[in-house]
Amino acid sequence: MAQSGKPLLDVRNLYTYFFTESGIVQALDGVSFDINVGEPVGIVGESGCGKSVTAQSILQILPRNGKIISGEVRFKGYDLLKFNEKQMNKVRGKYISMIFQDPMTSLNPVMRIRDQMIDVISLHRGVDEFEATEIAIKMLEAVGIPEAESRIYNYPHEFSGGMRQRILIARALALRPELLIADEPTTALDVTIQAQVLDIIRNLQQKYNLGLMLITHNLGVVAETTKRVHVFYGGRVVESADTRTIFKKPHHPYTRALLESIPSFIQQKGRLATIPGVVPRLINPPKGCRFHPRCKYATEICKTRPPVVEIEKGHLVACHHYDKLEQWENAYEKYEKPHKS
Amino acid sequence: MSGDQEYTYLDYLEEHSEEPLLRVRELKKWYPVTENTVLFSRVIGHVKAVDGVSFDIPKGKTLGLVGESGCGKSTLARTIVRLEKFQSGSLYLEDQDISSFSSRKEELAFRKRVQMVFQDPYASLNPRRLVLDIIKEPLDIHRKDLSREEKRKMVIELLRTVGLEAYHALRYPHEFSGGQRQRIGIARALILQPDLIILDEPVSALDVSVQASILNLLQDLQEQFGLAYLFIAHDLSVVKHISDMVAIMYLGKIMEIGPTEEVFNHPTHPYTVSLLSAIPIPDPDIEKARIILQGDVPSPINLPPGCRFSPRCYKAQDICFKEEPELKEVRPGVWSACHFPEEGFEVLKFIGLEKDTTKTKTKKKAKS
Repeated sequence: MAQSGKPLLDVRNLYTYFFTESGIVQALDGVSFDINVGEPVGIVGESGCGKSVTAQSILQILPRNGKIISGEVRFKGYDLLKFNEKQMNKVRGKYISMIFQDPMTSLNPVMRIRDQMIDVISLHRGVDEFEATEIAIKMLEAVGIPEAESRIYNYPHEFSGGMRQRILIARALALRPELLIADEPTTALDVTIQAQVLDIIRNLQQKYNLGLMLITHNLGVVAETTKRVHVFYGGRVVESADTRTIFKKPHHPYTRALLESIPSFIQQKGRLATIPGVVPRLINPPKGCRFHPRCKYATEICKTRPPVVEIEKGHLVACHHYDKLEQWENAYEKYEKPHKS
Repeated sequence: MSGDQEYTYLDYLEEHSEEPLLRVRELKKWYPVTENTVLFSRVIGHVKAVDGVSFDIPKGKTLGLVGESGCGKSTLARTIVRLEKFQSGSLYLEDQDISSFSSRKEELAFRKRVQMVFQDPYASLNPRRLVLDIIKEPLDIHRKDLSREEKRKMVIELLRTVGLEAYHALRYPHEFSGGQRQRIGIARALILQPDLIILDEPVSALDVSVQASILNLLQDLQEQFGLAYLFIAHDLSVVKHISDMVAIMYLGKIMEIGPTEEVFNHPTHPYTVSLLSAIPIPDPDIEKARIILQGDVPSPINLPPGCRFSPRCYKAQDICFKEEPELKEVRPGVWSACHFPEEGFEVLKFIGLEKDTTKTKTKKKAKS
């Protein structure tokens, strides 16, 4: 699915800070990544690594104390950060749509589903109420809501969690956007329902040739849904590659540690690998590589910011020691702890 | 397998229980649903949250309890620790009948032996109390014989056991991360040296790297103190990792129960099969066969007639909509409540984790 032309979304050196009472939170610290036309891309990381802030920065829907300091968000070649509020309103929903984690809080509990859906449709498409209702019903059918024609007049509380998430997907896709940002779309759902919703997202993504930015902490979901992955840590992208490479040949120590810490379904019992320490606070982040205080390979040089190196085509790693890891890994297993920083 | 029709799971438990610590028999917990009119309220139905559940937890072992939200996992946990009353059935902790307490003393003795760790480490710790006081509180109730100094020593020792430092005792919960808070919750459950800990989704609110360290800690503590766990979770990989036995619950009933490896590698109940095929596997090379369940969990007020899983089941036949299946022994030790249990089902092959030799050959051919 690699596109030779310009990417659909190209984020370059994005810095977003939050100004709080206890200090400046450097939520995004030079984030760069891209998403091609019709490409499903995963954004992976633990809580507080800047995944959601990235989505909010792209759509410029940051909380009041958050500010984009510098950088570029190029969508189809246009820098969205130079757009004014009126222009952004046209982008939101029509070109870039978003669905959120909690399907209950993103729907208005006192409005019928129809009223919540047709507003957006008639505004952007310039059609009247009846036509908009038609479109909405068709979308609801596409996401698998049974008896959509009558259920469109129901209120959100009359639907289950999985159904609500489907409604949100229907609403987000009603305008045929080119990019869908899904922020932890299945985290609040049960596994069987999660499988249903992911299936719908995958099908529609292919059907509409949609660019998908899937934000999640669930590596299984990423492996099954996306073609390419950007791994986030401490407000930066630490590794980008196609999904297979990330899972089979990860080069950043953090990606490796993350993959090792999931209990595997096949592997026999034993102790799980853990990452010592905690996710850094971004008010006073560690200097240099933000992972170095927790990294077993860290040396003195890691206190400076690592360059982003393209080790293979399309495989970017931000680590000083990416080339020596293989060797060290073997040594580490042999001698337990060859060095300590 | 057993020819005798009368041989039930209860009989099996009586025969096979080796040193059972907790015995749960035919436990039912129904919540009345009332309709309020102007003057009266009348009961129009029941939410059958726990509808006849039986199992044993042996000493020092872990029973994993799996199910989707609304299946009654948490109600079961709350009933076992006697935070809820129940309609019928019986509960025994070793030889003590814990379905009712004749005196406060008896109740205290029970509470000392069974403790609970909750899901949300943010909501389960009082934000206005020091960690020292939080962990010490059970001692204040149960161990009035100890002096202040002795209690303090015990707390500090325990903090080290769960991987925290002594100075953490004089801090407040908000100063800790989610994983550390869960450690505090575990320390609080441990301080009375209980025999059984009920863990209600203890790691589902945590990040994967932190989740791994808490799971390791739980395993270490089990070894060190010989604890028995009832481990409730919806994440099947986690349950598989930590449990010796596993029970799959659906709408208040146990659908399948047996040794973890057996149940997860060769499931017999179609619901277990569907659950296992729904887990996203972190390996992009796997092209999974899936059984995607249609529809949602039905409302526990209006249970479908017959098997409660029948409306979503891929194997359902006429009898499934009429007659409710009881637990039957499908293989030695594996009990399944299904009219048409799967036999010889291989999960790893089905979801593609174990490569069929034939498959890889064809793939290689295709490549060359």
